[in-house]
Amino acid sequence: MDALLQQLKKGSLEIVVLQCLSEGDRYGYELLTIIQERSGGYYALKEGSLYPVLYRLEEKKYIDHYQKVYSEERRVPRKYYRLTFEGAEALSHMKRAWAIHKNATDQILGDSG
Amino acid sequence: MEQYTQNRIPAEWRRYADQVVRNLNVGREIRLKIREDLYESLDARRQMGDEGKPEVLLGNPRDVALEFAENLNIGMESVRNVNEYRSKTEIFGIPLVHIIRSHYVMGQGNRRMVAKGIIAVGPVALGVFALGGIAFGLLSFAGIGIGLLGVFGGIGIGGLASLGGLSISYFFSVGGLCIAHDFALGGLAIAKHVAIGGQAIAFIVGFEDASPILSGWTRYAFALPEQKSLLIQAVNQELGGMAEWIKNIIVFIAGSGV
Repeated sequence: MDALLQQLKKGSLEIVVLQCLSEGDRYGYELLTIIQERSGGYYALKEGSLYPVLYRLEEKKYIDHYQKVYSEERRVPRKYYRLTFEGAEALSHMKRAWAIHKNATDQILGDSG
Repeated sequence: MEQYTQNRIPAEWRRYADQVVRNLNVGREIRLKIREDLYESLDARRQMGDEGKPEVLLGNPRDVALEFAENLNIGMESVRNVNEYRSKTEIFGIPLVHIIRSHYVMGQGNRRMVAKGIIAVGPVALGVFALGGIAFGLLSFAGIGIGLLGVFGGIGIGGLASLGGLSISYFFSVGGLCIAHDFALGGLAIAKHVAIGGQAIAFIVGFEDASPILSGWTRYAFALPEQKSLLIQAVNQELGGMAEWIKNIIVFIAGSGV
């Protein structure tokens, strides 16, 4: 069960991240906490899971980032990620695909249940 | 993230990020990204009031590296399995002791890890005191070694002194085949000033072989041990331009070592 959930989470992480970024620019840790809160703790991600997804999405040009530099001495600049036009298109395509997949799977599961 | 300098990042964060990226067999660009993102995450957690060591906030560096490896699709086999010790004490950002007992990297790249520290020990070591198969240091002990001051090794190139099967240095070389500017002592000894050995080439030579190699610049040749006192006398008299302490060392070794 755990392994299956892991696989399902991994497979749906890109769409989850893109959806969060479609609502506003976010930095890495903010994404971690938002995703965890909104999923009721289901997506309890760590840095090692989130950042590779961000690297991939950036490589595909679905997102890009800008930096926010703080004047305080002991602050590290933050990388804010934002959705690109290509990312917005990809998200809507993914959502359609997700809906088709979910409906079809639900129908089968519903039929058997 | 060029806007801030590395020295603003707490040393323990840098050490932690080092441990994570060192465990990953990925390119420089990704390593830099991961390092920056770890700093940012630690900073964000600190702003949220989370205090504690990076290991507590983000987890064991090896586990973090494993997770990165898995999600970067480079496979778990790309994570280094390194048996190393790195002291927490640092001098000018360099660990006091860094020991790499074994290293192997599977997957792409196969980059070797180098032990780097004030005292560095490993298959390849770089330090003030370096000990290893291949070592570079102020003082090196190695199969193949370069020591700015001295080296002890199978093959050694030392600044001042070298001791080894094949040893080369400026001042003092001892070995099977030894080459030095001032003083060479060994099976085949070659020096500008004094050479003592089975066979020797120098300005002043002490030889044990019946047929010493005499070069064009050899002026004095003494058979040892019979003419040891003559050799010492020649060193004292003929090398006037040489520092007294060097002559004393040469005389001491020539007088007792042959």
